[in-house]
Amino acid sequence: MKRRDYSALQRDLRDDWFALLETPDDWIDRGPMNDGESQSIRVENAVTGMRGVAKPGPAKGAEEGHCRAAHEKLAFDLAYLAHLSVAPVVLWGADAPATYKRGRSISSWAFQQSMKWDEANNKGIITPTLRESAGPLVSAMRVFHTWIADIDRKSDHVQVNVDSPPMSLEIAFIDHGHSLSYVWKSPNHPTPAQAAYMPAPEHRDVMIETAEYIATIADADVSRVINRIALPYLPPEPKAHILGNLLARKGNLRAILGI
Amino acid sequence: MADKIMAIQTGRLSLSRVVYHTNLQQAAGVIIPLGVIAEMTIGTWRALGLIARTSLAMDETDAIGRLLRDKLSDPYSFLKPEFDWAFSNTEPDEALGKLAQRFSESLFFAPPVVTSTKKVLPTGGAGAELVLSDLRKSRDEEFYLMLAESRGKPDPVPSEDTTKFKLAA
Repeated sequence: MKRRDYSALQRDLRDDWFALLETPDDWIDRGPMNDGESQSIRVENAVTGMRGVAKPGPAKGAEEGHCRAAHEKLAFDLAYLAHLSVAPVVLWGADAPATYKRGRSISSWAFQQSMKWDEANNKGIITPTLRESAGPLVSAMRVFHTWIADIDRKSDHVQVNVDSPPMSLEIAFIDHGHSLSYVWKSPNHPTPAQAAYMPAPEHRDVMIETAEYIATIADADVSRVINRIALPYLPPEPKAHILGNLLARKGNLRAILGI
Repeated sequence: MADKIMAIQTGRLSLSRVVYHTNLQQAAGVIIPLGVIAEMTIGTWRALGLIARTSLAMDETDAIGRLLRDKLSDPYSFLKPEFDWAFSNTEPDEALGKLAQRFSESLFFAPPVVTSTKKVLPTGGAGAELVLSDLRKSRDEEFYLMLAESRGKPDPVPSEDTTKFKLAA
């Protein structure tokens, strides 16, 4: 399985935040993101000045049946195990569970400079060559999103690195709140494949390679990243559904996707 | 004379700064001021205005990512299509909010700052001109304040502006 090309800083952050479950730091509210259903806010690390995006926002904090923060964290952790490009995520316990019943997550910015795919496309910066270059990762991520039952995919949930090399578009995938136990309400919950949604060419060979690689991820590794998330982020019942469905689908992705 | 004076009209003025974040990951990242967009709705009028720089300093251009560097070297030309889109595709009082939703990353339209306004407007073209005059004044004050705050000095920069207005309903 090909490792993605990340900057040294990004590699360090991916390693650090995969190892770290919950941030112990203070983060400062820098105002609303203003662009999504989860009402997320911009946050800044009080010591390092690092910036990120916290979700859900105050308007969604009282929701108990939707484990958004856990889903965001798990999507990153599972993508890390699969060597795929989801922006690093860590859990944040501030004001939980009093204000935020299921806690919050903080997503890092994948790139120093980014635009949403749709806006980058509208502005004409995604050339046919760059669109073609995104095909392999887009194909791999369709397999990954099928594994985690993410049903909220759209091209606006893809960040484009504005400083990408001229021949190779760097992209990262964000917004995985509507996946996992948002969809799975029982063991062996029937879930279809994620439909193709990105305007980039699909590579069947990459999809097969990705499905086969995910099948080789050890059950123990999948179990570990799920079982380390506790209350208030993830109650026992949805945790059991997530674990059971992930393990059941892990070796079956080629059949689900028909590849 | 009396038949040319309308009743007191209440309305809203919205202002958004438009900037470019050269480093989303760190608070210390340089932020390049690009322009200000304004919307005023009052009585039957809706007006939208944009003022933006027409060039950037060399160090600013160099700080912009490769894929956007050339296109953003003239911010006014880069932003004008978004201004036109907002005027044609959004409802009164929604233009700046919609732009802020679309551009929330490196190219950043700030969530609009909204103030209430109250005026007595003459009928016809004189009323429209008064609305446009007020919009331009508020927009340009915000633009030059943004530049002064960003650059630490109130020196002028090359800029261009445009306004459009139409009946709101």
